[in-house]
Amino acid sequence: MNKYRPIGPLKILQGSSGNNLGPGATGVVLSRAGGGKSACLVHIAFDKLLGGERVLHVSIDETPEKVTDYYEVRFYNIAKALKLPDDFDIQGLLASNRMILAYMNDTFNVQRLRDNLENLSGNMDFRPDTIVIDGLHVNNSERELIGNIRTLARDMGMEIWMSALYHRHIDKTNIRGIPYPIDEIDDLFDVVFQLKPEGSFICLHMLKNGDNGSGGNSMLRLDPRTFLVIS
Amino acid sequence: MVNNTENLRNVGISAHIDSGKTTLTERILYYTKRIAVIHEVRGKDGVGATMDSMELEKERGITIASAATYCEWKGHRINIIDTPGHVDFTIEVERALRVMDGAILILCAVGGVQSQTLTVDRQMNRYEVPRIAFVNKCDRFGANPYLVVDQLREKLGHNAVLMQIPIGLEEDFSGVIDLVSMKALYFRGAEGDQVVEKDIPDNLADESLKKREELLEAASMFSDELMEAIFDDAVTEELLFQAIRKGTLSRELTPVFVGSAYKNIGVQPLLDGITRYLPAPADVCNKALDLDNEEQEVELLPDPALPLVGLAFKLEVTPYGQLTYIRVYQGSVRKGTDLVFTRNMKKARVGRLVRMHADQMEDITEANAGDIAALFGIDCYSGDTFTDGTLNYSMTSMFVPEPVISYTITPKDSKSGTRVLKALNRFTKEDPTFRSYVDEESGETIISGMGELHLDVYVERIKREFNAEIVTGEPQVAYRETITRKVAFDYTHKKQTGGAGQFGRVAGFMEPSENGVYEFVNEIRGGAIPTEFVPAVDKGFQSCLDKGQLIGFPVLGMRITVNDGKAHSVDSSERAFFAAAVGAFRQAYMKARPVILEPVMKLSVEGPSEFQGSIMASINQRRGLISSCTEQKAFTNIEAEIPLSEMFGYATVLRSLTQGKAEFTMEFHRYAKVPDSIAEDIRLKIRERAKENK
Repeated sequence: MNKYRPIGPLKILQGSSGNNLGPGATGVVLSRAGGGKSACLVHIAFDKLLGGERVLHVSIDETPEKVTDYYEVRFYNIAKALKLPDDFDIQGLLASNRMILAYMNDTFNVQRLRDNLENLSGNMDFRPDTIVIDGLHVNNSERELIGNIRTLARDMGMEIWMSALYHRHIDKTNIRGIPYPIDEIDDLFDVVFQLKPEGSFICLHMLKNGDNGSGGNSMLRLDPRTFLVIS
Repeated sequence: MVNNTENLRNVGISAHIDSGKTTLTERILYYTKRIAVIHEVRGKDGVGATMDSMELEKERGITIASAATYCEWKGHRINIIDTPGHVDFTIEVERALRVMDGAILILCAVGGVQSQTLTVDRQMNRYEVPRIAFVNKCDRFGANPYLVVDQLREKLGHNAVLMQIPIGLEEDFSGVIDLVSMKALYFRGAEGDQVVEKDIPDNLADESLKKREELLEAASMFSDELMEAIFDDAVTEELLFQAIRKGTLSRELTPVFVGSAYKNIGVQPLLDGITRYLPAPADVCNKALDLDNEEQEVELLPDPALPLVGLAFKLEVTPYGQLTYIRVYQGSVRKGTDLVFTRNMKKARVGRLVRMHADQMEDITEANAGDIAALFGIDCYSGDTFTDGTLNYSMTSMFVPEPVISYTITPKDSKSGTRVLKALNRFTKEDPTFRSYVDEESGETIISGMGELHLDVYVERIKREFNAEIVTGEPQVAYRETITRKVAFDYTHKKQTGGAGQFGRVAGFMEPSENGVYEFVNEIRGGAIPTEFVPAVDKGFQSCLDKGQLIGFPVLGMRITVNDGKAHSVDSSERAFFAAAVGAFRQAYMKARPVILEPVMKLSVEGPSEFQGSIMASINQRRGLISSCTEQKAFTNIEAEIPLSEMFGYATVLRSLTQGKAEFTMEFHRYAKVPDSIAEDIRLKIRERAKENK
């Protein structure tokens, strides 16, 4: 299964001063609209799943069917790029380690997520190592919500990833180099990634990695279709 | 007679079981003068409600088959289909909603939004049916229509708005205040025939004003004109009607009426509501697929002058022949003309065209676009599209759920056997969710359907309507077998017992096939098996697939490669090579490590979020694998894969786990290998059953 493990976004952490992810950590992927936030989160999930971890994909306002399709298409693209067969058995194995939790019509809140996690763990023996939350659109006004998610990550010992939308016309950045809309809440994240289109690639910049502040100049070029590292 | 489709309403009535659908329909028929006397569902006169024409319906007090009827109210014709409330009869509700333009969602003023309300509401959403709500039983102890409106908003996500408020509640319930006319309505006379309009009682004046404000605010979202009129204090009834109608048709507003059908309160205003707010056929966009144009969607127009397109949505076998309920979407059906069924392009002559009224009927000569009628003596299937032959259109097929439970039924004597056969033939034509077949191995007759009550009703009908004595047995699962490794075979069939001999040698190997189907590969070189005998070899192998040697169930996913053999110039024949293939199969099969496959279902359970943990546990205990959960307001929908063998009795378990508030549906998903520990149990059970059958 490891041969399918893509050299994807999380590789950026390898070249950095340390990996500040893991149980209790939170990460966020920043990009502008259509910049690949959801794809990046799915590829982070793939990396974890192909490493044998359990992943909970939390989808806000997208049905589980759509999320499943998204995973299947991404897997197909990875397999094709790596010149490997689109193996149904491996897809099945990945699906058995993945759970999709969809919150429709403004039903998402942290207490409900916590209850759902307890139900999954208590009744299904499903305890995810990583949670990716897609569709939350993290921003400064959500300090309490993101704070609660961070508390949840620590209480449950899980790594949680989210996404945020930045706007090109707002160039507000804090002294640590973290842009709007998370410049006032960057203390709530251990790792901050930013996606920027550059020619025919997507550039992944690491803006923060741990409490030491900036992630330095770490940058990876990704194939926009497969999110595999090009350079 | 009303002929204008603008004044036609095709309406379904749906609700949770025992919410009073049939009682309400009985009142509607009475006030519209379709019947002269009201009969109660479980009335002392023993007649039963008009719409419950089946003996079992009258006895159990539930509606089993949906009955169609029609009535006229203030210049409008209303086609009504009364539908069953129980989840096991869900196909009846689906069929009704498929052909309805609008619906009345009935809720109990005490029970509010109940489990089956969720199902019917979801079904209405699936078919995009605009609806109005009727909060019934306001005379009952504990009635609270205000709470029901809150539940409509919170649990079903409706933008529900009260059109009326009750005057008194429980035993003091005496009438309703109409928030459009701002008048109190009382229902006088023995059967509440006379609607008496009075001023609003002083004690309800403030409440009425407050609720009217809410109504105006909700309705104004759909009309700028109304919004302006509110500012100018110049709201007219007509403006309000138009705005509410617009909101209802767009399914963004649900007008709520209150009453008590049993006490004859509030039914006439509901009839006004049906004609004012629910759509006419032209208000609904119905589409068909043009089979001559790559199945492009085409809109059907309710114009009698256009070519005919209609749908047969329900079959009923009556003592006089097959009765086919139809909805005409475009054009018209006339007595004496021909229909062409798109499925097989067969023609059928319209001999007798009737308008249904429960189990009675009226002969008509023509049914126009938008209408619902019934045909006699037409041989077709439920869900068939028909045209006049000038178009090759197909309506999108109705959602027909797969049966989920099976019983064996055994007639006690031969007379009963014949009667059972007759009954099953009739039921399978009537109801696509009811299936029956004879198990070749055991010779037992298997019936399958949507749940225990569904099958119990058919078993009861076999006994009562066909006078057959039967015994029902344990539920059964359709297992399969498959092989897991490649094994070579080399078998010679040789027989020399007087007369012409038989000789044939077949060699090659069997292995699992990748796509789950049977494959035959011919790699014979140099004519080792003469070409004319090769098809017999293939047939010989195929004949073995119906019954695997492991547990006697069909074999899936096998590739047979034949690469050698031998023939005799005199004794070889098709028969000999067929037998050689059977021998080769038997020689190799058990060595190829066969395993048992079981049907795995895609399960969807929906219930209040508070029961999420219990539902998950119940799935986990049954070897289920949850793939996703969806949170919707106060409800959770859990999707899982689960072996069918673990699902018998699940309806009862789920009901008790969730106080009857959760429901499930499932459909076949795939075959999967049974775990070894369970496979051994299955083998033992099947062996025991085989012994018993002997």
